[in-house]
Amino acid sequence: MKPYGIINHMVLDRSPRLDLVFHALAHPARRSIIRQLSGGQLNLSELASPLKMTFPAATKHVRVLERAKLVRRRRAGREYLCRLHADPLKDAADWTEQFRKNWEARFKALDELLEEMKSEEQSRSRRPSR
Amino acid sequence: MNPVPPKGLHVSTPTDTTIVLSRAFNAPRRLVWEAMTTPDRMRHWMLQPPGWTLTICECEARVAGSLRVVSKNEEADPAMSLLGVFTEVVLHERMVHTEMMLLGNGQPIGSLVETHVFAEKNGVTSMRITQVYASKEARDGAVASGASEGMEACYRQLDELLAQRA
Repeated sequence: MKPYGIINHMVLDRSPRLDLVFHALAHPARRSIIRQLSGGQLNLSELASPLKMTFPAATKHVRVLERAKLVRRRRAGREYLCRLHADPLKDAADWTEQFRKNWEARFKALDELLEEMKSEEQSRSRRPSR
Repeated sequence: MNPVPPKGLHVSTPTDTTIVLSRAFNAPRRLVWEAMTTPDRMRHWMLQPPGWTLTICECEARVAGSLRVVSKNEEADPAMSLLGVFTEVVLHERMVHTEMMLLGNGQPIGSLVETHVFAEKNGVTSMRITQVYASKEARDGAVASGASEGMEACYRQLDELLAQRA
């Protein structure tokens, strides 16, 4: 049941604001928008193009993220620039924990690889090449 | 005798623009170095977020050598690339490289400088990675992206569970 840790935690202290964050994160397109914005601000058409959806559909998703205060939008000339506002996520879960878990998953795989490499070396030194 | 297996990863954010990752590995540092700089080895441990597949992995750990890691997602972005250049390399001890993240359309969405330092004692390697981002917003964005990936994994599990029940 481990994967539900964050959800359980959040269900326990549910607040109207967290509900909005939850709802905002409950769609793959919106999580994709967060990922895209994680490197810096983008305008609406830049956000929409990799999502394979219409511009109005993408705008709707951005609005949901805005309501949860995860994205801020400001007018720049004829365009709207969107920027990630990460603070509500800080409230929603331990700020660095998931970042740590992602990397730890990689490093656990690296542990296994290193064990393989060590035994490769040992068997090479036990059986010198003929 | 094998030393006690090292504790897991420690993550800290000592300044507004940095993330530091510390981890020990139960192996000599030349093996850790090989695993982290040889593309065939890197493919074994550079796990991608749910839905993403590693397609290109290139790494030349020498000064001015390049780093290129491309992953694909069948649903959203056509591809996401990490491109970097090594600026400092001391074999088995220290490497510094730039890293820029690009969306499928080639648009850069963030860059950082990553320093790896390796120290070995009694066959155990302590590794320290320091990531320096251009701004606090970029640093927070990197962590937030990880947080939303975690949510993604949770929701996928939930979807599967609900599908089984349906």
